[in-house]
Amino acid sequence: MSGDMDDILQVFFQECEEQLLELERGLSALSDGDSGHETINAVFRAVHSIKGGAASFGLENLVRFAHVFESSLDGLRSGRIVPTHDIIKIFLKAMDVLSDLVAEARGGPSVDAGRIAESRSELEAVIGKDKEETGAATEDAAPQDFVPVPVSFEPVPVDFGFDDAFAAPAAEPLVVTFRPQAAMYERGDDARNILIGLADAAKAVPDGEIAVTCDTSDLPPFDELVPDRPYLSWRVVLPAEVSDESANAVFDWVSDVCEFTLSRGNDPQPQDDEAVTAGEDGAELKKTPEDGSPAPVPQVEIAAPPAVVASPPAPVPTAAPANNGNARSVRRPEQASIRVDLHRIDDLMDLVGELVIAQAAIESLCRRNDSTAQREMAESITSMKALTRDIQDAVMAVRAQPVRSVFQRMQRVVREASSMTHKDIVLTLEGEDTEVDRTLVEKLTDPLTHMLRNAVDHGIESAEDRLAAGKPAEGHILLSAGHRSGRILITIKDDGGGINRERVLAIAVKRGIVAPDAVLTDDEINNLIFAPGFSTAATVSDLSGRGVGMDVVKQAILGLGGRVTIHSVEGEGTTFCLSLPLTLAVLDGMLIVAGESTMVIPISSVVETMMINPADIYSLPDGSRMVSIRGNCMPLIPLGFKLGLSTSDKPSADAVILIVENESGARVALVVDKICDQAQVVIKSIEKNYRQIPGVSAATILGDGSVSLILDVPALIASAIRNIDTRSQNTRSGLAA
Amino acid sequence: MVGKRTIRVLTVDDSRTMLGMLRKALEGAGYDVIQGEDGVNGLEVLQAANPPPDAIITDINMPRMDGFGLIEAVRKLDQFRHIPIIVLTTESDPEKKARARAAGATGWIIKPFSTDSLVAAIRRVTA
Repeated sequence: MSGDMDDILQVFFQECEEQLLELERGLSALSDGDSGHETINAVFRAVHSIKGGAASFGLENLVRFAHVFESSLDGLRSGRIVPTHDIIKIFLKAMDVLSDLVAEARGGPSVDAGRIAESRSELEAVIGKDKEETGAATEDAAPQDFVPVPVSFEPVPVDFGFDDAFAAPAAEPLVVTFRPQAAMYERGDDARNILIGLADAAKAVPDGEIAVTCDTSDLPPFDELVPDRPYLSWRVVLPAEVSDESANAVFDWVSDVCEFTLSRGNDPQPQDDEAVTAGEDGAELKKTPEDGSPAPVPQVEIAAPPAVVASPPAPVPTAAPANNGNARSVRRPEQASIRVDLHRIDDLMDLVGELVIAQAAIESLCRRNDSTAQREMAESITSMKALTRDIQDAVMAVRAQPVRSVFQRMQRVVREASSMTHKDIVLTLEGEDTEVDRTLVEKLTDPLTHMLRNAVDHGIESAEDRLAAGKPAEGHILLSAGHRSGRILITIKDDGGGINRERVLAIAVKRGIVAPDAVLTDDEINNLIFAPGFSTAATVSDLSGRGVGMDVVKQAILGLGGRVTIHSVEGEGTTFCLSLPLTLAVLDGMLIVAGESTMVIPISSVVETMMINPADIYSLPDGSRMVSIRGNCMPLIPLGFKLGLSTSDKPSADAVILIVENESGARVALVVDKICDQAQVVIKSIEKNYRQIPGVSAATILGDGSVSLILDVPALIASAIRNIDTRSQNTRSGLAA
Repeated sequence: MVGKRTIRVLTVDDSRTMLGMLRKALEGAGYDVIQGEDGVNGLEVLQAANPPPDAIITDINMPRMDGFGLIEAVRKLDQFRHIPIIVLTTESDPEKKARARAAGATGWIIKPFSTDSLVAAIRRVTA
């Protein structure tokens, strides 16, 4: 039972995430001037849904806030409130609070009460409520609105107990008459249901029997009878202990489509119509014997089951137990689950079916033993290989998620950062539907958050500076995603002042990151902002005070197998490009042999391959070598020697050179014995299974079952540059790290 | 009497949380539950259901087709118009009730509901 509830709670939290995204999308559409009916409804529905679910779990903080939010959105929906810029800002702020409250309910940090109160009073101001009144009134009014009022749907036991305990002894039996109208039947209701309801009401008291008479006097002759016309009425006598309220409750749903009367009067034998009027008089006669035994009994009996009686006065009867039960589950680690388009699963299933067929084909070929079997087998395996690749793609499609969830979170980041820095900035999102592996989506949040904060803090100038430079006061940041040759490309483009290279260089020199006499290209200077210990913030603002530098961002992106490049034009803005693999699980690699070991080099870092030409190799005084390729010199690394796999650093005559590049464009030439193949390999963490090895990023298992290392190209380049270029060692390593 | 056959209830709500809670509460009470995720889907499920449900519980505020729309549509379908429809609502104001009634709802339950209140409501229309 509680396990079920936990599961539903998880579903609720997932749904909250979705609703919050929906809310964000709706509000940004609103601020773009789309105040269409459907947009407003979607926004309203999102908050409404969160409130409804939260109420079911007794998450009171969330419910209370969502209620106020919903009320103000209701004003928007009914057209009482016009979505001006300021009002949308209030809604956006409320959305942030709401999203934090959801996180709180999920076991996250508790939300500052001041923030909630502030946002709430803003919302209330939107509704146009009087401040004094709302302070106390909503506190009480809000939850009461969704307290299940048992009267309306739990008519019988609850009300009965409650009322009877306090009501004066109702000595006389309760006489109920009712005549359903056609409309009642048209609503799918039935007189039977009412009779059962009355019987249930009676059953709640001892000896609770009802006497029912049906009045058929209006019934026409059979051939005149119209089936869906109401002809019947009923008269029901209930025990005296049944309260008027509980009988009334039976008619709650039909009060407008069913005439009914309640009266008190003893009427033990209502066989004829006369009895209705005779009841009043008859009461005198029958009262004494009826009163004698049953009347006092219920007074005692009713007090006995307090569980039933207690229900109405308790403020939140249904939510309370759920709340207790969930106190633990809220803190339970969130379950990882994703929603997948059914088509993708179907595609996968189709492919698996084909795989089974292919396997059967190979099996039968194995059993055959003629001359053509060998060749057919090879063909079968080739087609199976294609199939495996398709299945891999299909599985990746199942794991793929649009980057929307992360991108939309960035709206909030920019909103908060710009309000903190008092800048007016609009973030535009593009390509939110671009899909990437879900692990990647999650890991993108932190680096993107930091880069956007950085763009707001350092990229966009203050409004005065912008106006002085002839730009609009409002800054713009574009965050876009797209697929580019098997990788995902994310760009963050601001229209700010661009990187002030002089200042960056001056700071880098001051911090000892580069030597004072270093000569650096524009690109290298741009990349200095990724160097550890670099920060251009003249004053430590709230944003920069978070203790994360751009170097950490770069590390995170590299850790994802990605690259960062910067393009900056002074006065026009800066663009950061993140290029990331589509998945973290599989990598396109080049299989090479060095020092008798087969290793994998990520294809994305290989620029070109060529045969070695001894004439192009130059030795340097420190024993290292350079190779000149079409006039460009770059360090030559004998891979086997470098990794300690072979003792000689002299390249053999038939060795092959791989030119590899890191994300800042630094190149080195790796000398390998030979290139074997190009293959997709599954990445296995070596850190998790062994420990970190410099120059090796991960391991994989090859087709023949052997373990092979995946080389960490940026690290190799860094070490090579460090060896050669001692002059700007710090700079270079900072760049390459 | 419905006899020994399990009573089947169609629940329509755009919130998976709510659908989950309805399913848990109703299945726990021995009902057979089928579900739709909005008015349009609810109608599809209803028309495809065999046997048809004995009662429908629907949310009001849903995308594509809201609860009122669903009720009106069901009441127009000859083979389903007799089915009792209970509306789930967080709004307890008389205006909403009146609209639900006008659309042809049999009754309503106010969210959040307890299992008891839900079962009582279903019993009220299917017992």
